[in-house]
Amino acid sequence: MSAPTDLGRADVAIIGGGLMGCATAYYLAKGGVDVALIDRTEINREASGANAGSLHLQVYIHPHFPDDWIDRIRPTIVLMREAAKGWATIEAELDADCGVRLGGGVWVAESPEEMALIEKKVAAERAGGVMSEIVMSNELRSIAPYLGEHVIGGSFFKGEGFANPLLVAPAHARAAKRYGARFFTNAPVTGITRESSGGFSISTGRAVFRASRVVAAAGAWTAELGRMVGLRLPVEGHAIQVQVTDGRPLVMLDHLLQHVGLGLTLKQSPNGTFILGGGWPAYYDRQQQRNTPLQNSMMGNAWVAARTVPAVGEAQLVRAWGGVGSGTPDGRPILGESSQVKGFYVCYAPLGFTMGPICGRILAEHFLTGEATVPLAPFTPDRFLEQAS
Amino acid sequence: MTGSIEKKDLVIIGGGPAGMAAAVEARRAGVESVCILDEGISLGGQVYRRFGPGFTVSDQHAAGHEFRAGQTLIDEVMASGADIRTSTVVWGIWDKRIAFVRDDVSASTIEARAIIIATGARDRPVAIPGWTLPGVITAGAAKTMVAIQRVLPGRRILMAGSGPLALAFSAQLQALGANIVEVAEAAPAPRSLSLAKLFMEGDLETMIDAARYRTKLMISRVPLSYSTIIVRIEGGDEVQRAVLARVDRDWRVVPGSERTVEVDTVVLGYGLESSSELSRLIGCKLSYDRQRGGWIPERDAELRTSVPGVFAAGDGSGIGGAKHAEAEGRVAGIAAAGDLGALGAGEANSRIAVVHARLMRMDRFLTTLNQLYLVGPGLFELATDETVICRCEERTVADLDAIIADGVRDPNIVRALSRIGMGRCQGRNCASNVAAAIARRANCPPELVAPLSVRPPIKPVPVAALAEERPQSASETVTS
Repeated sequence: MSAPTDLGRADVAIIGGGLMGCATAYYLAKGGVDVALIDRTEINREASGANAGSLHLQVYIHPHFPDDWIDRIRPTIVLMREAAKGWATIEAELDADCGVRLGGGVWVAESPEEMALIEKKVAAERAGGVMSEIVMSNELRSIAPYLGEHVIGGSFFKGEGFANPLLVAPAHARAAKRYGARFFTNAPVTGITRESSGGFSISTGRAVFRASRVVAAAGAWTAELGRMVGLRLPVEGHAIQVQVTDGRPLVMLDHLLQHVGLGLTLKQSPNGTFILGGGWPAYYDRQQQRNTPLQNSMMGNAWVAARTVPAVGEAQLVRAWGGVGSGTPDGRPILGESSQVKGFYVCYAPLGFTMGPICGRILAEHFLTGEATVPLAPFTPDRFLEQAS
Repeated sequence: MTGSIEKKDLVIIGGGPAGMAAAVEARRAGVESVCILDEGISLGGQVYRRFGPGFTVSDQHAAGHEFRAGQTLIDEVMASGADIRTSTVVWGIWDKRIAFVRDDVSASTIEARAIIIATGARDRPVAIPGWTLPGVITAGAAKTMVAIQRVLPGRRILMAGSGPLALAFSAQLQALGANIVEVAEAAPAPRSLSLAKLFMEGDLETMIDAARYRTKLMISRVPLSYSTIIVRIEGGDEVQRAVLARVDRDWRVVPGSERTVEVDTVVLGYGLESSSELSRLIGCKLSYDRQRGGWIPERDAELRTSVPGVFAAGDGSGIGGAKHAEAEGRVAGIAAAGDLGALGAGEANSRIAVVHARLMRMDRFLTTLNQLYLVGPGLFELATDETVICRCEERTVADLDAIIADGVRDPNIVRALSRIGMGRCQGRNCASNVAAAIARRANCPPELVAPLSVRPPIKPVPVAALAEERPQSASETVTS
């Protein structure tokens, strides 16, 4: 691999080879745009490949979130509705196995207070077109017979489930390449400068790349890219962990299960392994330069999982890893072009594994036609400019 | 939430020769609280393994000299006042906090002032066609079956491997009644000059052992073929026959030399790999030693790793055998006692010096021995496209090659893309074969291929054991 000083040029350069970037590359290339994707290592190496595979198509909420959380994220619910449609057809769209299982999504509560939060969540979801339902004890148990004794009720949404994080972004990348998208890996972006012609010059560890337009699809590292062009994009990342058990008899019916009060996502993969998540914190090991699971999180996560689904308590924990979570202050995605830096687009969403494909598609629609299935106004990167002034 | 955390001056992980010797020396030096954690149901490790429950040893001599050597050390450590916990699996270490599960049910944590990692070695996995057939076992497993459980692994046994251990295993198996059809040694027959060098450098006992094993095999008329490798194993549902071939110095097959032997059991003994997962987990600086077991922690003369307060001793930090491990354990135990303030620096140094002299002689011997039995690259070229390389996830060499052909050179990325190394064994049965395949394709030495990263749990652990206690405030630890 000799290092050319000029990597080349493209109409659009996407920075970031996670699911968001790969999906954007796919939909743009499919629309006939000359697109190149640049990643600092290989594709799918961070959050997109290291999450638990949950498809969060109900509102993600917990008791310690701010009181007005649902109001803050409300515009996102329409996007979730579209995302649910997209996940149902994604394997056909890409002609690839993405490990998608949409057995439905169960949220559970153990107390009236937790149940009240689920009711609030469901009301907002239904108003936005996500047709979840409240289900109380007996009915819930007929839907999810694997639940433990502490659960009093919850909600159910048919379109929820999970996918395989190891497959989804690579499937988008392969499909994008079929439409001519080019991929440059091991090219960390160190600077983005505006050229007099109006385009951008992107410095990487290897060489310089030129593009008329840039899409920042860097997940938890979005803020860094924003700073390179003088924009404030307040995305904050944090280390979270996932654990996996050995294979056990299938009991979970391809459901995604979440506990509103205790912090749990749980699913059972087709090979029988339980996948335990729920945003439990990991830590960044500076010496080894990677996110690493924490003992307390591993034990706490195991406790919640075995309490909620007793069959998990019979399994053995086989592996765990640290991934990346991230969010914005208003909990909404950042999608669209900056009015301050014309030609600079942002494609970011919290819960980016769930939202990656739809965000990539919506941004590409907007890019190609000036319009999109879902209005982009609530997600504009400009909203942080106003806050800054 | 992890209950009350016990405190100990020194925790030794692994109760084989290195761990036991370390405990004995540390206690002798006056370290107040010394704790050994071991997975086995009793102390001893692989070589000094005890008989299982239900066995009584009526004649120590008949049990073999390894048994007696082990018993001496076990008696010493039992009398030393060390806190010994068997059936105990360490699943993670955070700083100096060691998390473990005992008897598969109770999770606890000990905070240590110093740690000695003495986790030993395991048989090198060799992915050849047919290696997953029932009836194929590793030399270590065969030895445990025969010597400890007194069960013969089969009726007609082929022993294929390399090195003095392969020979020793064969002789031991034969002596215990196993029918060994042939011993195939991949290395050439040692020349008299090399043997003379070994005699010069080796300790007499080891050489007498080796001569005795060879004589035993000759007396029992077991064919011993040098420069011979196992090419593949065949059979329907189980082993029916094996194909052997002559090899050159790189262990590459001499065309036309293949022949078939009818056997129902194949024992593979192509050397050992260091179980260095814990050293890797806590971020010890590593180096690659092809002859001493792969990725092993770098250590100073007193066996300190690059992580302050953490020592590594025995085969888990470089293969040297039981006696070598025991000597290293002594050095680490004394050095840890010195660092913990139980022993003055002068006294520690003079105690270490005695062991060092012995270790240096053993190291010279090992270097010569390893040169004789250096694993040839041909061993890793026997697999075909259909050969399973990752048993846990059932992935083949073709699956691996497809990814390497795409330009991937990092086993961690191979794992993410193919699930090779992701299963229950966490790479123990495939990592070295994956690294060899990458090295071959990239035309680079194996040390340029990154080691597979290690995370807790380093061994499977029951969810129920970890889920014993309600976390203090689960919901507050959740982030959006």
